[in-house]
Amino acid sequence: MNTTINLPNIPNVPGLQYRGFRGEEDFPAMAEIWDQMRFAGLVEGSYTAEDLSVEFRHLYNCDPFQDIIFAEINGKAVACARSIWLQEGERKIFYQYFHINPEIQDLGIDLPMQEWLENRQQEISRAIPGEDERVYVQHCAQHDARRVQVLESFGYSAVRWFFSMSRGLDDIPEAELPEGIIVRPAMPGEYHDVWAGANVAFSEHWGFSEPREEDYQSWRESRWFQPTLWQVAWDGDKPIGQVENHIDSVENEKLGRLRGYTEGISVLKPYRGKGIARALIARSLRMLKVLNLQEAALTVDSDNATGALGLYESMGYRTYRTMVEYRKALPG
Amino acid sequence: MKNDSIKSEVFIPEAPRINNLRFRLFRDENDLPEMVRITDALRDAGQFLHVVSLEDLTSWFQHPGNCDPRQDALFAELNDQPVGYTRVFWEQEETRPARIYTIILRILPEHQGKGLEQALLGWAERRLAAIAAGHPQEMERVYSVFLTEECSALKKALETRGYQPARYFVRMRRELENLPEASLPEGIELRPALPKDYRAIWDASVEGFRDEWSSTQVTEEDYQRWLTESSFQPAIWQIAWDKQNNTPVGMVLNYINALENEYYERFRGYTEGICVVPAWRGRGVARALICRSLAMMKALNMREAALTVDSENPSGAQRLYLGLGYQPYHTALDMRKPMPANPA
Repeated sequence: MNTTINLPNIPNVPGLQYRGFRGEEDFPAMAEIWDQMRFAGLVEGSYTAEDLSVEFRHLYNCDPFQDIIFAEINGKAVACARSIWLQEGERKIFYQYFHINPEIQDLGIDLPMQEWLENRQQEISRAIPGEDERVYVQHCAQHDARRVQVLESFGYSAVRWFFSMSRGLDDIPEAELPEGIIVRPAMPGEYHDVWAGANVAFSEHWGFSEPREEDYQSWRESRWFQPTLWQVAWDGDKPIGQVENHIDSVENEKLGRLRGYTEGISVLKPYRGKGIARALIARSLRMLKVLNLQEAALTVDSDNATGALGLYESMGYRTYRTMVEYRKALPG
Repeated sequence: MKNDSIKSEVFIPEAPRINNLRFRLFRDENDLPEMVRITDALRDAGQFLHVVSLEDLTSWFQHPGNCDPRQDALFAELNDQPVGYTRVFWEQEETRPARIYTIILRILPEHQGKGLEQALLGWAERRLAAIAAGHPQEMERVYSVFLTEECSALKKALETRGYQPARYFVRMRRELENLPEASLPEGIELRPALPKDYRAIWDASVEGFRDEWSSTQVTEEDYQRWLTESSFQPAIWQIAWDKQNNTPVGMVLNYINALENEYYERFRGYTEGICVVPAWRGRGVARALICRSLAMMKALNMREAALTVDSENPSGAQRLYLGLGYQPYHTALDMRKPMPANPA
C-alpha cells in the first residue's frame, strides 16, 4: 500500500520519508517510539501494541488512515503524530499526539509534521459546521526543550501545568471516612455507575471533555481497568468518591520499579470538604503497601480548583515532573 | 444448520426414551455460552458453587490440554436446545505410573434423574476408553468425576456404574476480622510478581504441589491456559522469594471472582494456590503468606476469605487453615472407578 505523504521543506536527512497509517502493523513501531520517550522521562506509563489495538478499536473523531502521519528513516518509523478532536464545553479542541524518538529529535523532522498536522486539523475543522471556538492542544514535558521550542515557534502558549507526583509507602497518614459513608468494592454491574460518577465529579474541572461510551469500552478492555484495586466510597447505593488505582506491571518490569498509580481521584461536589478523598487515598496507599509495592504516583492539574495539589502534598506526594499543556487558536 | 446437526449427531444406546432427545458433538465456540447457561442453572440449584464465565470456557477452548473439544465434548439436546453436556480429558499423574481419565458432566436440574446421566456417562467412558486404547496399558487407569454432594442424581448414577468416593475436599472460609499475624523466616522477602516472573512462579507451584494427592503432570497448554484464566490475578498474589537466589519458594495465588461475588451478594476473596517448595517447608512460610493475604483481602475491602483443601492432605494443610481461623462449610468429592483393560 502506497501511503507516502509528500511534504515541502523537508530537512536533509538521508532516507527520510513521511507516510500515513498502514493499520495494525504500525502498532509495534508506535509502541517503540513511546518506549523511547518514556526512557527519556518525557511521558508516563507503558503503551504496548496490544494497548494501541484496544484504543484504536474504540477511536472516535479520528480516522487513522487520514489523521496520522509517520516519519521514517530508511523504512523505520521514528516519529508519529495523530489528530483527534473533542468537545470541551462550548469549544472544540483539536488534540495532537506528537511522539518522536528523542535521539533524532533535533534533526528537524518534526517541523513538517507539525505543519501537516495543523493543516489536517484545519481541514477536519472546516468539515464540522458551527461558529464555536476551535483550538489546537498538545501536551509535552516541561523539560522537553525541543518540543517546547517547536510549539513556541508555531505560536503556541503554555496554558496549564500538570504535576506528576510520587511518594514512598512508608509513614502512610491515617484518615477516617465521615459518618454514613462506607467503602466497599464495586460489583461488575456497578462499574459503569462508578465511571459515570467520576465524570460528573470531573465535569467542572478545567479542560473537561464529556467522555463517551467508546471511552468507557476502551478503558474496560485496557490493562489499566483493575476494579479489584479501586477504593470506592458509597452513600447508600450511590458511588460518591473514588480512587481508581491501577498497577502497570509492564512498566514496572521495564523500569525496574514497583509502583502503583493512585489515579482517577474524584469526589462528587456535595461531598467535598469532608475528608473523603484523603481517606480513600490513605486506604489506597495502605493497600498498595500490602500488595508489596514501593511507591505510589499520580498526576494533578497544578491549578485544580478543588485544591487537589495541596491535598496530595499534605499526604506526602512530591512533584518529579511537570507536563505542560500548550494551546493555539485555529485560524478563523 | 440442519446439515451440521446431522453430521455431528451421535447415537447412544443407553439413551432414555424421550421425544426429540438427541446427542451431538461440540461444534465450535458458539457452544460455549450454552455451557455457561447450563453451569449457571446448576449454580442456581446449589449443585455447583462457582461462577464460571464465558472467558474461562474460552480459555479452555483455546488451550484444552489433552482434549480435542470437537471430539471429546457432547451435548444432549431436547427440541434442539442443549439440556446437558459432558466433556472429557486425561492427565498423567506426576509421581505414580497412573493416568486419570476425567469426566465433567452437567445436566440442567429439571432434566436430571431421567436417564441422561447414564447416557452421557456411557458415551464419556467409551470415548475415554477409545483414547486410552492408544495409551500404555501397564499403568493404573481410572475414571474420575469431581462433584458436590448436592449433585444427587449424578452421584447415584456414578454409584450404579461402580464409582466410589476416592477423596473428599473441604471448602473452608473465614471472616476478615481478628486477623492472625505471622512473620516470614529469615532469608525470605515479599515482592510482587512481574510478567517475567510468571514462568518461575508456575514452575515453583508445580514443585510445591507435586506431592499432593493425585497431582498430575502439567503441560505447556496448562501454562498457557493459566495465563488467560479469570482467576489469574498476579497483582494480588503473595509470593515469598528466597533472597539469596531470587527464586519464588512459596505462594498464595489469591484471586477475586467479581461475578461470583455479585451473584451471591458477598465480598469474598480466594486465598488459593497455597504451596511452598519442599526445601522451605516447616518454617512458617505458608502461614505468613496466608496472614499477609488475609490483611490484603481486607485492604481490598473484602469481608471473607475462602479456600479448598484436600481433607487428607499429607502436609497437614487443613490443620494449618483451621489454626488460622478457617472453618469448613462445604464438601466436594472425587469419585473414581478403574478403567477396564483394553479388550485384547
